[in-house]
Amino acid sequence: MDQEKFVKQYIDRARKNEKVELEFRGLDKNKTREARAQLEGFLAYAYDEDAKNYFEKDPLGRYVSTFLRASGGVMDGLGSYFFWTAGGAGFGLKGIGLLEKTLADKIDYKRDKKYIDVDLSDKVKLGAETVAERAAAYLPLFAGEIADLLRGRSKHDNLVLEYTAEKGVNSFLDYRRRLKENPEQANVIPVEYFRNPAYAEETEEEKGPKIVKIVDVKGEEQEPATIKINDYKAKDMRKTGS
Amino acid sequence: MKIKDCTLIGAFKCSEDESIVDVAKKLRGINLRHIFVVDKSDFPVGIISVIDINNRVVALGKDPKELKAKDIMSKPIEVYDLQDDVQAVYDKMIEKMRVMCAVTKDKKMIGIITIHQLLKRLEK
Repeated sequence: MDQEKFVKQYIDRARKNEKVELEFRGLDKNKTREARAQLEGFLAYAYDEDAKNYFEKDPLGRYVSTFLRASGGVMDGLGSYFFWTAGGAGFGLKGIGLLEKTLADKIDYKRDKKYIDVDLSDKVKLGAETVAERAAAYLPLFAGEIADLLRGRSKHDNLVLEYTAEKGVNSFLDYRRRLKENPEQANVIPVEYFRNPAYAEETEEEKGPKIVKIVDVKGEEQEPATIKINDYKAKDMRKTGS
Repeated sequence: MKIKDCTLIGAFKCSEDESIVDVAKKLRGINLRHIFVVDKSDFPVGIISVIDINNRVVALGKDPKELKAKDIMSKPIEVYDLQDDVQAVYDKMIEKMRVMCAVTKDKKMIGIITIHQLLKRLEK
């Protein structure tokens, strides 16, 4: 997940936070836009600080874990098939599969710890979910395999994203508090306020030239005013380059 | 009245070693036409406009992947501190024909002041 998607996904969730909601209460339209831009800015900053590193750095660990999950899933699936059709014959295969998945979880957990502060409750939550997934592997109808497919890697990704979002929200609340305590502090509109929506929503494939027509107040198209191009000569008073 | 009493735009910046492709992507994503270049200590040392990319890279047939921000940035630039006087900054910006300038606090870039914001402050 990149920064843009993260901000888009978590901004509305952050707005539902009680303390954040209080910051928005009673604001006029412009102040609301400004506060939202500040919140977006802090979420984006938090992403760059933590989640970005988790998703982009140390790709080897992520590849190894993905491979182990895929291979473990196949072994586990085959094991389940033989386990239920051939009377426990797939026990060994299941064992290998579950071992591979557990190893993948270990690697992912190590990466979690490397990029964020994992507290005890997160550790317990992750551990409980992993144990439940492994236990579900012995249920019929591939329950364990499906559970692992849905939550195997994503439980680690979500942990990092939730942590990042919380950090962004806390920074925003902290900034708003400081602003109230010291109104003399410079009022800075986050640069995200000026985000170009034409390029914020689209994927690479969808991008293309945009034709904007100048329309007057009555809704009729009109020709733009023209100025002689020679009136504009570069007056570069600075030097170029390093 | 000081710059800290004005509303600033957040620091829209890139590092000196950022490739022009990355700089262009940043400019594409934000509705601003200039980006400031900061050194390793986060102090603004140059500025790049979308026109600079056209005139100094595309029009000369240079490869934007090979060039870095420091290769095409305009310099030197005027940098103001949060504690600088609004009238003095306004006068300097008019004299130098600048529309926006970098603002620092403790020698680190914290935002951008526009001539429009200075005018608004001086009107009050």
